[in-house]
Amino acid sequence: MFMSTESAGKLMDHALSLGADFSELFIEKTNNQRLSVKNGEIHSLTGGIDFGIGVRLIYGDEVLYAYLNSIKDNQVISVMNQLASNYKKERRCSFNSLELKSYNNQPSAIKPISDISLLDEKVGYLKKISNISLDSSKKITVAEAGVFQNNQKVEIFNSEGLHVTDDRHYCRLNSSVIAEDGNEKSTGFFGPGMLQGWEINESYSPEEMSDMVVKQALTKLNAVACPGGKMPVVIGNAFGGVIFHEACGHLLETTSVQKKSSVFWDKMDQIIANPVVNAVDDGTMKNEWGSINIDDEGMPVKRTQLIKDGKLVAFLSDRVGELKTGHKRTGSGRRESYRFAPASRMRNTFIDKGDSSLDEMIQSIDHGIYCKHMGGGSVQPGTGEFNFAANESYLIEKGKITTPLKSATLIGTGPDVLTKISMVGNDLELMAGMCGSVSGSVPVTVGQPALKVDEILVGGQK
Amino acid sequence: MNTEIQQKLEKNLEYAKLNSDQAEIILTKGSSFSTSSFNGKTDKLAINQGNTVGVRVIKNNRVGISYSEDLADSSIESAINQAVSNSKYMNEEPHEKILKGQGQVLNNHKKNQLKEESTADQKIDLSIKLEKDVLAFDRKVKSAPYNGVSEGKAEYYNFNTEGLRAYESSGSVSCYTSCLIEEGEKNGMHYKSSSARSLEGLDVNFVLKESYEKAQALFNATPLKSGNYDVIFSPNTLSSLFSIFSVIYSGKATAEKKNPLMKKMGEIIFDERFSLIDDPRYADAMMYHDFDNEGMTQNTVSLFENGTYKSVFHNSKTASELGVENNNRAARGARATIGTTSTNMIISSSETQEENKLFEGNPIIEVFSIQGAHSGADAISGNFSFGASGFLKHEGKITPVKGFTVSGNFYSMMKNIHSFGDKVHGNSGRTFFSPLIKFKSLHLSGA
Repeated sequence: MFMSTESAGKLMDHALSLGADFSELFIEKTNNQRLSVKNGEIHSLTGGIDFGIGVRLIYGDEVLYAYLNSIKDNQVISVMNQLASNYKKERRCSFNSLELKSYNNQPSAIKPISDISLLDEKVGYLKKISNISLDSSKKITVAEAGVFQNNQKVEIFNSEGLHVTDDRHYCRLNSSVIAEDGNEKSTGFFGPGMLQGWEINESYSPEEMSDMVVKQALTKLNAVACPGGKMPVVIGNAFGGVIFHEACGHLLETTSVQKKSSVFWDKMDQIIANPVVNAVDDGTMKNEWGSINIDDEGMPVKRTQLIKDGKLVAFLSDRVGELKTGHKRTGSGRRESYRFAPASRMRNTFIDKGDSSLDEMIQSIDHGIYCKHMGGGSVQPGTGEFNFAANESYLIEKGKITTPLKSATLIGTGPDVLTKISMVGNDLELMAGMCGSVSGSVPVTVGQPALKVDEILVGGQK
Repeated sequence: MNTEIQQKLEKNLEYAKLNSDQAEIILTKGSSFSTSSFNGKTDKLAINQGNTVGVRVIKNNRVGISYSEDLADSSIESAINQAVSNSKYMNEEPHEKILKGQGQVLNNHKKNQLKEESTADQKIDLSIKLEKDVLAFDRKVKSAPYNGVSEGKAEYYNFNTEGLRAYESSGSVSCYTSCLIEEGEKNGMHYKSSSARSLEGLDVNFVLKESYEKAQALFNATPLKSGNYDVIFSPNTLSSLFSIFSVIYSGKATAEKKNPLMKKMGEIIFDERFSLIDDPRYADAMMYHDFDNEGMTQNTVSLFENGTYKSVFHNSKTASELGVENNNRAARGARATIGTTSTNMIISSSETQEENKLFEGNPIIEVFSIQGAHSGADAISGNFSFGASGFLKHEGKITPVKGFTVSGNFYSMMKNIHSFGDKVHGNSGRTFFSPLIKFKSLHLSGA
């Protein structure tokens, strides 16, 4: 596709001649396009081509990595020599001949970015979202809609004889508004994404895209200050899963396990969560934003059960993770682009559905809050301490959802919250997001059914 | 400036000129060497060499942009064609023009360059030493999981059809370490970094001490009782807060009606002792800026003066849109549309008091770490609520506290200042400078 097997073989053999135990080439060409509409007019249209090669050499368990924008043999050999200058030794491994493989578990895009005739259709769709939002209420003063689409073509070679290609099509929509009422202002946001082409728009009508954000912003406009302190919380489905992703999922990646900076590093086969909790990371789900045919080390992806009935049963592992911890690779070696060495990362990560209804959870609480839509947050890797904002939340009083609240924040530690989940809902949904970590920003989905956490610290204004 | 690159840009500019009314080609080049260590040896070593060419064209008053990471002439020509094609979809934009700026512009002040390049061995040795020194502090230190050193250089070329020939270069070195203290169920972890223009310029001892002492404080920290407290933010956390609410000094956000204070220009909206300027040549800053990305000369801009809202950052487009004078804060990367940016921001007060006196009176929370800052704040409403760690200081007693949230409204908080200290402190990146500011009565939720 990008490099002949002859060149690739020559380059990897050169790396082995420098004494490396393993060498790998990751070549990428990505075509990106971003289009946004604001208040019914085209606001921006940007895009371009990313192209480069990532070169990885492994000596023992030490990783040497370089990237450059040229795939010319002499330039790649030059950076290999620079990388290995402190490590150079006698050849220890021989090169295996390359065998091309491709995996096509995911359907190809029906409307790829290369079809430039789609631009008019995109503009019309986005303008409609923006106009519906503006027309829905005089309080909506800014209404934006956008689409990000890309096509990432990758070719991976390694010194064990691997030669694979993958053709990934991503498309993500977004809709956002600003609502104003006197001095009060609020915002709403919705951003679904799929591993597919522009056909994503058939799953989300302009009316639905608008309705989600307008309701969110208008509800928050009339919200009251959130109470602070420890209380029971029901975390809504779909993006509510961001808490598990950040506060537990990252701690199950061998990237943190290998440094023992995860509180779970020595907890394999132990109960780490309430037995109602089952958690999965599944890269095989059809068309999901976090799915892939192969990971960025060329391994076919799989479904990995992480927690079974509260017991930790697997970590997410990549090549270096397996080398350093012994936990077998799970097809989880991912990277944002050729600029990053791969690391163990999540794909579609979710808490599996249980058997409680949302109503049952709400009715079980005398005083607490319901976080219907979660926003972003962060986690301290060593300790699992997290902090998440709720985009839309409500007070629960005597078993009923009552007043909308502003700026609710949940803080705690992942391990603690896992043990305090007492009810798991039956309404599992996934939501697209971008996850930033050591190997850059990668598409993932987070997900869960609604969950009841018996006690969590809520940061509020009163 | 590299002659070969100059010739390449001139050649591609000729092609762009044939296909548009005005055109600009930006080329960014970056190279770096970084190393990280763990368990007493190198964990990862990386060499990076990246280039990007960005194109902006204006044709029939419509603006189009595109980029390519492949520097072959054919790829740059494709990017130019794509930009021209994109422009056809855009509405007419009377306010955006490509400027000549100051013509020949060299933005490569000595202060912004590497003083001395270090060898790979020197960087590897320092990275390993950082981990070793953290582990040597205390037997309770379980690990120093993240340690590293990086050195890099960046170049920026901006050539356009109006005659601008701009070149910028800079170089820096950074190091970081982390300290994880753990015993039983108790733990505390902290991370610290330092940047400089040479390996010798890095404040390694400060990075080590801060990582250990803050991790130790977090290890020993107790929950905080919920209530209203006066709060002092550390220079880094205050800098984060001002960054989150940057819509109030962005001309781009103002032109896009996303600045919630836009109608209050000229009014006293913050504490009347508070002033904020942006100084491109502030003596203690890491970086000197002579020109913005439109090649215009930069001078100090006053954003707030004694509580009065004076101005926001402009480029030629936002100034034209809003009918005000351009104050030359254009930002234009190879991949992005034209925007605005700060240089070095400096807070001052017309009335200060000895720093120690800020901690007298009611219990004070000194916040040294905030978590989830961006997700826990809404720049439009000004509301924020995020996790924090810090020290409770009262009557000479200092108690570390963690696991609490600090909540409030930024725009109200800026009217509700108790007092300012008399010393100026910089953030880690040395781009933000401020005295300590004691804010009155913020709500903190804890145990």
